[in-house]
Amino acid sequence: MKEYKLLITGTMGAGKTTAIRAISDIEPIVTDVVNHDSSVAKARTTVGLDYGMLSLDNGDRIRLFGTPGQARFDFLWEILARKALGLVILIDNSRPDPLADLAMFLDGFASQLARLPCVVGVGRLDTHPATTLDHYADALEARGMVFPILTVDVRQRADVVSLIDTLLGQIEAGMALDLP
Amino acid sequence: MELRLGTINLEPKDLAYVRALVRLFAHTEKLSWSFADAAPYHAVVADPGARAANPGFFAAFEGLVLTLGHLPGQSAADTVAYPIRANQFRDWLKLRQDSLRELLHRSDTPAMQPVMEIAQVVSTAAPSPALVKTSQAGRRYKLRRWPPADLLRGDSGAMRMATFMSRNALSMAQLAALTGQPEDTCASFVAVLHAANLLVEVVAAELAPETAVAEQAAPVRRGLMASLRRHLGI
Amino acid sequence: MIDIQNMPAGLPGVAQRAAAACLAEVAGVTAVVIATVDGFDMASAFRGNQDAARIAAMASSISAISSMVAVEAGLGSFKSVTIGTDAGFAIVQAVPRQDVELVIHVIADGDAILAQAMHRVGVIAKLLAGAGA
Repeated sequence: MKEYKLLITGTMGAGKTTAIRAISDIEPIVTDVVNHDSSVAKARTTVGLDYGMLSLDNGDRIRLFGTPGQARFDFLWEILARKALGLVILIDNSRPDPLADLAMFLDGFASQLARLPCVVGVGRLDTHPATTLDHYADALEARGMVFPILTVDVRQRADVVSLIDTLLGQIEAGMALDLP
Repeated sequence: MELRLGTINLEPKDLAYVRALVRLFAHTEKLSWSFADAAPYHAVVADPGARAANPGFFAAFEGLVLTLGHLPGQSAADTVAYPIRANQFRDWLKLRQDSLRELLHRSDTPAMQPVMEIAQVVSTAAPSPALVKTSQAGRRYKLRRWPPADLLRGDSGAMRMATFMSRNALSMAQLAALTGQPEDTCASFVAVLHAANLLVEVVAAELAPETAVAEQAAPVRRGLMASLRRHLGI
Repeated sequence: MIDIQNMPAGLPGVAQRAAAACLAEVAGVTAVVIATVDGFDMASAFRGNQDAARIAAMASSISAISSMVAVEAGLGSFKSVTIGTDAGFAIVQAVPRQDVELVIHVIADGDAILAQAMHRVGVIAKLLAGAGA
């Protein structure tokens, strides 16, 4: 039996915990606590990690880890990213500056993203369309990065599955050509 | 006002000739056309194969597409004899320049719409697969940026091809082997990406040989990824 | 950012005095941070150039993960965890309050005595549990 890890990060309220819950075989373990950040209207926030798991038919396990979204917990990002197969970055397009949010995660995971497959999922694009997927593509291109960018509603399991499927394509691409 | 002329699926020698003629006429005839390597275009010169494969699509842009050689049932007004007759080509450019100027000066967005639409629609036209394969054989391409949603159109095959090309510089054979798509489909998709200026060509000498992908792809894919996809119901 | 105005009246002041006193009176203690459970520092005292915000965030993560360990193990609520290191130790202690959950994080070097530091942290926790009520 082998064990692998997929990491989900993103801004507070982007739906990391929800996304893990959508596909996990077990009830996710969450470390959310009361939120005292007056700038975000959210009752609770993740301060440790979220944990879910997939048990595959060949006996392998996929561990799903969700990180805290705030920058003050970035020390956990590097720890949780170790030996991850791939990274999902969830962005909430309703936030004041979602491109700045994306930049924060691209900076926070910069050393990992040199090799780690990654997919960007953008939520609430339908209700907050000012920042478009092209804007995200522009932002990545400016950094010399190309990652799939998808719209996603993490409350819909099909959307989360599509996100993971795209990440799997990225992982396959890296494995097939022996990328480091 | 400068007008942009593009091409669809021309052989490299024809493309070079068209480019040279456009530059020549800009100087000698003071025409307002410039050759554009990427969309948007105001008009295009098309290969007859692409035109034959997409009759409905090209019919929507009558007057803005010049076809090399004559196709049955097609008006002679928008064809040029092949090999390209320079004087015929010049006359067509003059005629279209006058009509486009009138159209563009007449009003704003509604009048511009049919002209500028060609930029996007032409860039997504299905090219002649045989010609694309020939011209792209041996070349390897990587995505420069993620394609816009309206180019992918929610197509899972296109998403898969784009995903692989976002990570690696691939030839058509490699892309076909990795994605399980027919090579013609890969070639068509790459042509669309190329027309939309989304690709970077990578020198093949710097990359792994073609055989490496074909040998590694199947067993790798048939392991963890397949199991995970089954589990998720994909 | 944390809104100190919304903290129970007097609590930040009590926390700051307790942190300063602990640093001054307990041998070997090099840093004391009292934080909200979601990682915002409310009070702190240092001997060096530590980053209060970072320590507060770490304390909340440790507290949260430790809480989950306690729950998963069926051992009730998290109270404290001690991190032993080559050159000292760190203590993370929960403060039982109904209105705002707090975490105390004390860092000590090799000169500190673990039992003494743990006793003092317990005293601070009791003090904060009843302060500003």
